[in-house]
Amino acid sequence: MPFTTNVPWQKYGIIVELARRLETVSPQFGKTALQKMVYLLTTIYHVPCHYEHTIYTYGPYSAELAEDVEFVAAMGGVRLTEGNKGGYKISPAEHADWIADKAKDVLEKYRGEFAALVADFGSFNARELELRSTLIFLNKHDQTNTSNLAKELTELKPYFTTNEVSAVIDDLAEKRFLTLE
Amino acid sequence: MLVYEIRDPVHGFIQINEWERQIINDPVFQRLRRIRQLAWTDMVYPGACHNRFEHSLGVMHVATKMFDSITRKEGEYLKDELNFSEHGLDRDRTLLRLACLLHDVGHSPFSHAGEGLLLTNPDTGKSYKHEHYSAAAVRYLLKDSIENNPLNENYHITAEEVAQFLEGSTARFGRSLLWRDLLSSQLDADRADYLLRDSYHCGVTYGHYDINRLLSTVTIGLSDTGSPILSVEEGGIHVAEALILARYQMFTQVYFQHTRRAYDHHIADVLKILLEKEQEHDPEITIKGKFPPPTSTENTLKYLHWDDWKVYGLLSDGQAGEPGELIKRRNHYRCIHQTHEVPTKRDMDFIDLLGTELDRQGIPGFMDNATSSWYKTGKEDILIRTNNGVSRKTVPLSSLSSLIQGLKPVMQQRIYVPQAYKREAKLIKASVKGEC
Repeated sequence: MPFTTNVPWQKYGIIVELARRLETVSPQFGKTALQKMVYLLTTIYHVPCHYEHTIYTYGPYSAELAEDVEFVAAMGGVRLTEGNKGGYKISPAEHADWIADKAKDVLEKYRGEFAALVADFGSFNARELELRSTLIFLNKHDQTNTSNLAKELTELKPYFTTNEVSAVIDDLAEKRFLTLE
Repeated sequence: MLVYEIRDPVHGFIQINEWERQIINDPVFQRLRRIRQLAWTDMVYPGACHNRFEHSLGVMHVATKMFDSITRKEGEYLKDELNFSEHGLDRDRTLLRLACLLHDVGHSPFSHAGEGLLLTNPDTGKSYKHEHYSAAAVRYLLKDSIENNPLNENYHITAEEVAQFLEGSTARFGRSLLWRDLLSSQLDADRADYLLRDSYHCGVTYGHYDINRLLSTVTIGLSDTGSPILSVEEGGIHVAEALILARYQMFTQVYFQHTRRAYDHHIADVLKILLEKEQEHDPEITIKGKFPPPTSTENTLKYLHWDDWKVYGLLSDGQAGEPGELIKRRNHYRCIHQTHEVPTKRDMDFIDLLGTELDRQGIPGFMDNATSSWYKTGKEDILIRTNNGVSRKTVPLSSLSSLIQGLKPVMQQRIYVPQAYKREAKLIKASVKGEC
């Protein structure tokens, strides 16, 4: 079928679904939180979001996702408004249902995973999500040893205290989001 | 240390050292002379015959200028607050130059036009990108050139490090990861170079911005989470605006120009045919019509064996079937319908209906979508360090600039059919319109 539209509705639907679910749960569901949530949804809950995150000082990031949220906003799937904590707040907009409907298969299939993500990470702010997603990235790609993981994180992000990093590692390990030796 | 100079049409003289010269002379890098930067854009803009070789030198040059500007202005902050050392910065600069120089060595023939022929990475479920092939070429083929040069004795930079820096696959760089923003971000040296270079060669003025102002105002700010991040000083707001507008205009006027996009489609068809023919009797390649994955030395060599020259030769020999003939005769498919740049829901519903009807009536052709193009352009933002440098707090440019606030991402969709079907397809379009 040569004339099939190749709009990535599945990816757009995931953005809308996160905006819907996190609107009332997240301290401020903005662009940074979206980046980290999609990374966690892919890595921890194995939802095929089809974004590839690479690492920066500010944690896992996908340029493609950053662009897609703007496309979804232009289509009226989400609204981007200036938040009271700086940056932008993402919330569902007038065509959210239309976009979610086009991605309904994947949203229904992974309903449980979305719910688990929101329960486990939904209440964290962007900074807390950045710390957690970066630790998970480090653990997945580089380190499986607790002390090295903490050391590498503080080398990358010296503005997080050792105590804070250790507490988060313990918490993530307890929930089995980290694989440690 | 010997320094060589290469004359560049955009930046003037670009300096390289003996080590970089050795890498540039490697066949892996020399291949970039045979990879066109903008594929067959010269079918529309005849001057656009430049290649990835000159762009790669340009990216290395611009990234170095950015790095030097930042370390000159922010040296105290980098050392006192972020714990960088003089030697560490020197090493980072060297690594950054190598990564920028090599960032495009993994491009397929005709650059992004060939990316549709890359396999899916089983680890991510996404297609490989040229960056993965660049990393593979560095890892498997440039190890000796990178690691065994006397100038590396002070640094001990490994090919694996350069590959990982390109991939963004490890955080082992620690604080030095900061410089990855110069290689890949909304403010990176890649786009800073290609906008100027592409506009120069196309003969358009859309991609222009004041690069000297950008270089003098680039700085380190803090993201909303407190992480160091590449940003622009408050005094550089207008050059940041110009950079975003330059990319927006280059997208709409050059990269997503309707005829140019038709040729991207035809090139992909040509490559698929040529790959299938070559791979027909290769038992090691199980998925025919795609480039082999960047997972081994052998695969990477097979991949790099393909360049524009090879495709030209086969195409000239008549090996590329009907798509090859279309290109030779400049008889590309014609656009018979396009949505607005920012389509409404009604636009999207109509193009779906039209596509279905064209399919039903057996009209050949294809649908093109700006958001699926490599050159897609979402609404972009650049972080601005406010308070005239007193604090490192940043805000998005779009919150300060009504011009950027008003920009919308381009999501245009188009339908193309062969020249011979243009009239029939337009009649079908009229009838679908009448029913709506």
